[in-house]
Amino acid sequence: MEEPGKIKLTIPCRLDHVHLAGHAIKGVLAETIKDSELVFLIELAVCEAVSNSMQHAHGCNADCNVEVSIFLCNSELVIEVTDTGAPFNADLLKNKQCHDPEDATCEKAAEGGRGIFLICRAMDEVKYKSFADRNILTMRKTIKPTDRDGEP
Amino acid sequence: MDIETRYEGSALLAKPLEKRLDAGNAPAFKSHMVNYILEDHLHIAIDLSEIEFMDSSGLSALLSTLKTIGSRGKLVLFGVGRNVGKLFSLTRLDRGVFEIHEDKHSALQSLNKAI
Repeated sequence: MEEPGKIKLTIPCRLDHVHLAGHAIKGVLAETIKDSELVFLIELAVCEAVSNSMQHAHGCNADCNVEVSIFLCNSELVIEVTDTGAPFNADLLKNKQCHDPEDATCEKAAEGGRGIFLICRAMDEVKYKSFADRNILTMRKTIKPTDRDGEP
Repeated sequence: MDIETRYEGSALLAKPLEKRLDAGNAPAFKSHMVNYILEDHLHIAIDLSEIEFMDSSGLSALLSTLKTIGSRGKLVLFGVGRNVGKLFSLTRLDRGVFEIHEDKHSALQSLNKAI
């Protein structure tokens, strides 16, 4: 049985579907959060997580799916991105400074690999677990009263 | 992906006509930009004013364009909105990597100096 207030999406592993996850989270948050920059950052984290799962866990196999569940209760937003593909190296989450190119130049700046860094910067807590052939990235964000729609 | 292009002197002005530059369309955008460079357009201003959402794949496509031009020409950006600006500041790619201008006039002025 689903927990009350939990919204779940199942998206086929196609990169041209990543925006659907973005639109969904934006739609859910639009009713609650008035800070558009905060909504953008959460949408960014979700899209990065979904495209990581599609590309790295499932190799963009359109026969596979990625699940996104969104749970917003009072001040806590919890988003889980689940896949059944190849797990990734969770140690990447420990280094929040990776690809934080202080004093970078065009020559030194890496072309890719900023997805995890952006997820960690956008969310308050990011955890990853892999068990029973399922990989789950859990992202948490505390929504402050001043971020909420209609709050003083 | 639809990209509006026109010439301002020797500079190429490229404006992606999408609201998003993400994992879904960044490879197509990158491919278009590489083609312009292969056609010898080495001074390019990209107008990002239509883009409301960009992710790390969009950044990668822009970085790839910048690196492909290299020291042979110049790439400048303008029309950067609030969300895209936040992405540049989070990744610090607005500090010493991308040249970002307030408007088209300033972007073209910078390109013309390099031509």
